[in-house]
Amino acid sequence: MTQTLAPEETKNDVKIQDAGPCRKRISIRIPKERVNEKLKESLAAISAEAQVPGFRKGHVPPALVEKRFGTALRSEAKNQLVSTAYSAAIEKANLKIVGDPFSETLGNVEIKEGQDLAFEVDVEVQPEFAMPSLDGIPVKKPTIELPESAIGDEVQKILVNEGDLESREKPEAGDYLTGHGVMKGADGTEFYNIKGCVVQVPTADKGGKGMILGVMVNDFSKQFGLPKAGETVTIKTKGPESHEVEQVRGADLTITFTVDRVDRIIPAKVENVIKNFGMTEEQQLRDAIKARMEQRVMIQQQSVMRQQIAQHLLANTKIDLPERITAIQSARNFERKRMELMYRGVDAQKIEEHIAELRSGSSEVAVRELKLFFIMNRAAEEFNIRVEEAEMNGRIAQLAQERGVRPDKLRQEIIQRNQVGVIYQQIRDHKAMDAILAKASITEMPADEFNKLMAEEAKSGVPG
Amino acid sequence: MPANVAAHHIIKKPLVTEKGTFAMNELAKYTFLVDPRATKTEIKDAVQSLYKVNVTGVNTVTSKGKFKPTRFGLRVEPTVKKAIVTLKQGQTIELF
Repeated sequence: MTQTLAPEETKNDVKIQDAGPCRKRISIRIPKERVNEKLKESLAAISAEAQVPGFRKGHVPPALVEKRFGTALRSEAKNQLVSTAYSAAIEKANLKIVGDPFSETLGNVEIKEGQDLAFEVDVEVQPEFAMPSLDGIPVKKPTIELPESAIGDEVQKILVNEGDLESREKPEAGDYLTGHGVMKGADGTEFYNIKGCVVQVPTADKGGKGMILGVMVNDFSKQFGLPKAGETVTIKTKGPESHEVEQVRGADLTITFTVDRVDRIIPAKVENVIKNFGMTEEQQLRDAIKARMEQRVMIQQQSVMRQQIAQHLLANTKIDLPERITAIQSARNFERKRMELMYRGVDAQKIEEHIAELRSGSSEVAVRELKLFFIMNRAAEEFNIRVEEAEMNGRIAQLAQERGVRPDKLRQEIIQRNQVGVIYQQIRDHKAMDAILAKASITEMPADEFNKLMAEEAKSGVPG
Repeated sequence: MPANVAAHHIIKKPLVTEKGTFAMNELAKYTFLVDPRATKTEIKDAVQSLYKVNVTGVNTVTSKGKFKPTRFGLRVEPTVKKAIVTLKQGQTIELF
């Protein structure tokens, strides 16, 4: 469906088209008169302020200003025109935008005097649907206890994390292989070409399954074998149905991997770790781990209850969504999942395996995630939930502690990977969930009983 | 100046200032920083060959380098020679 806004409404030529499930493509053409006017305005503004050697302030000839500051001036004028036109267009069309706008072409569009400025942006819009009642949702709260063995397991995990890499000639199960991975389609199209990618030789408990370049391969052990440094292996597999690169979905993939290095992680010694952490005895380390795990248990408990709320909302909300979602929606789903798992304290390697599993999952799961995204967005709106900067910093600090890195380093990484929005969304979702939980009817039960009940409900298909 | 010096060694750079811009727009006069040893004739030939224009007049002004005190002793500022070149009516230099 194409909607055209009358030019007098926005002064620009605006067309809005459907671009996938709950996505719209907004095409905007700003007339040359507006472009000229804006360029003149910007030039006059800069001329009045520019300080050029040999000239008094405000006395620099426009031609010289244009020559010296032309690129910056045009880029600034373009940004202002685009943002004003975009805001006016969504306001006039009354679109409820979710997330940030996205455009592949906007970066290449040049603003020129005497020419219209035309560009396209894709936006995600909130679909219309009736929200179920958020009061008195039945929720079961498992009372989870922390066994002593879990602390021992966590100590082992820390020892592995703090361990050293030992170079090996021949790989064995669990070893890490670093090398050059290339993923190609049946017609030779190259999807990924990554030097220095890491592959783990599957351990016995994985049942031969393994992950390479973010794709889970069922008969990985059989195809991959145990290659030494310098050897190249070829893996053939089918592209996962929910992959964030649309061309990869369902494609016949050929992945070649040339091994550069084989490494094994040798766990660190407890005494060294205690010393590195600035502690004096093992009990101190165990106490610190216990405190951290207790916090994790609380998070798990919250997560379980939040999952029940999510299940309830999904089962009781009807939103018409197509069977397949777009690549950007897939990518956002994965980013949200990745951040959620990180928040729950799952290992980085396990997170990537989980994401690879998700990619292989059915498109139904992906659509369900998208549906939940829209529901939580509406719930956050209904509760008028705001996220403060301090909360964002607090969440980043918590994630950093889970990953064992410095908060400022993780913050930098999050900004570089453009994941600030994901963190914001996660906090907003959690706050909305907590607001719903505060109104829910909660029944406490032992963890074993809870797990049995969940397993039975999963078998019978009843959402918990 | 020694003989056979390239034109771009005589004309160092155009001098873009408020006063110079006024002279350029109103009086068709262009200001350059030139080698202090260059003569008016050499400047005229250099401008003509570099910018393919006809020069009708050259005025020069040399400001001698001064001694400036620094924390490490005295520093001599370079001697600078400016040339104000008048072109044949109707001709311009695109560079400015």
